Amino acid sequence: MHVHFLDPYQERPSLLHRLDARVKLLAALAFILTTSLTPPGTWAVYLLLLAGVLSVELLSDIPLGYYQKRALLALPFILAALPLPFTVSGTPLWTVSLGAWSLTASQEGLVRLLSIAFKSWISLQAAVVLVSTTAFPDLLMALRALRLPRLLVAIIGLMWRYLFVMVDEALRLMRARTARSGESAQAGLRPGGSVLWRARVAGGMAGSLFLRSIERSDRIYMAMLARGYDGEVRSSTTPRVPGREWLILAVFLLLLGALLGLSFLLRAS
Amino acid sequence: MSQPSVEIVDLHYAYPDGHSALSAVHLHLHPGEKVALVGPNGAGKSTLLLHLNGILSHQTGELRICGLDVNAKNLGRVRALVGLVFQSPDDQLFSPTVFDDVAFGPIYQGLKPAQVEERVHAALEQVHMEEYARRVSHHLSVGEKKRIALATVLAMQPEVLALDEPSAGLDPRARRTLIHLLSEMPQTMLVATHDLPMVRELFTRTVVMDQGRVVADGPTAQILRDAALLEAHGLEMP
Repeated sequence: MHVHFLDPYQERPSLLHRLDARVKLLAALAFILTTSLTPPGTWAVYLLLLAGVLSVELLSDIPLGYYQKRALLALPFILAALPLPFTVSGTPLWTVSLGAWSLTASQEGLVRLLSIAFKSWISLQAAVVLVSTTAFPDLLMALRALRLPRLLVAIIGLMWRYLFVMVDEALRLMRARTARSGESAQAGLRPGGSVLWRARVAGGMAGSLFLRSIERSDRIYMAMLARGYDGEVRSSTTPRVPGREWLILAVFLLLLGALLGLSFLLRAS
Repeated sequence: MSQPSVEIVDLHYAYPDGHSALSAVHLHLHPGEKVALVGPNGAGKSTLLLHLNGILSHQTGELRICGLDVNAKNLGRVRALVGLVFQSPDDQLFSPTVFDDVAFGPIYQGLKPAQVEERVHAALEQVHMEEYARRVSHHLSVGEKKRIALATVLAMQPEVLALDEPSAGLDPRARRTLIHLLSEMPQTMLVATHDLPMVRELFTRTVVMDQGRVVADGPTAQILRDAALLEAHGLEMP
């Protein structure tokens, strides 16, 4: 039993897939940065940004529904912004009173909440586009090329590599538990055990997974030492980015800059 | 003739990616029969074992354990009837102590604490590991873990034992102990293994699988003499 569903990369022959990982990484980061810098309430710019990310999604040959499903991950982050309507002062909208407490929602706060929700949704789509059209090793190469500390890149790479091993291991543990979850032939017995006992079993499983991961990391480290690892992460040289792709990136960044300028103009007017 | 312990008729199974793992498998095991399942890696042996207690569910064909259809309704009973021991004892043993692990099956079935205690002791006694009940399973030797893994299913008093590579990774003495243990067990047994000397010693009947099919099924002595058959399916004469 192996896990494939975790890997977001979708192999397709699209133009977007062929674009250099460094270009895509820079473009995605710039897009997310632009989105988060746009002032709250500039809806026209948000729509343009959404149109931008949607057209890139269409270019990637991957169904739009796939992106939307993954972008739902943004929902929990919106929770953090939920108190905003009550904490930002401005034109009062309505008041909720709970006994001695009363909370007043302001229009400015509500606008800010909706802006954050919309912006995180767009930003997450950009991130999903990046990881769905770029194979993970290429993404690591791009991170190295951007001068992210090599040790950090190596840790991200190892984490990715062994995440699958750990998930497989967890699935095997759960399968072993399922295999022994039987019903007695004796009548009148309720199978399943108490909730507390089941929680203890699950805790034991989590604990043994943790211990095994630590032991595995020791073994991996020894295997690295055995092949001459000395704490220094080296990498092979990376090919140059073709000039045409730099041009694409430059045009994209210019567009983003223009959108950002537009949003501030809208804000000022 | 008595009801077969395991009855498999025309079983097919394909993994979600479309790769076919089992095709047209037929197999009947009579009560108390000890059968070896041999074949190269990836032949479908483990996949077949996973079907026996419904971890994987068959797509077409029939599968009955002691006369019970393996389906969603009977899963609980089937899982108590078939003791499935995984290849890696580390997967099998997920609780902090040996006692907790062996007690898992009985507690899950809803037995009373006194009964659970009794089952655990009986199971540990059967594998000659009574004094290990309070030990932490994490740091036992592979041989000890394999015996505990066997005890975890014996505590459920199964009719059928389905073992995946029980002798893999054991030193000669641990292997010898295991062979002894298995020869003492009265249950019907289906054992996937690459250990042909053990097959010759322990099992009267051998089933050879390759590429998801049963390619031979007969008396062990006859199959282990057939050098051409063994070689064609990635095995060596013991």
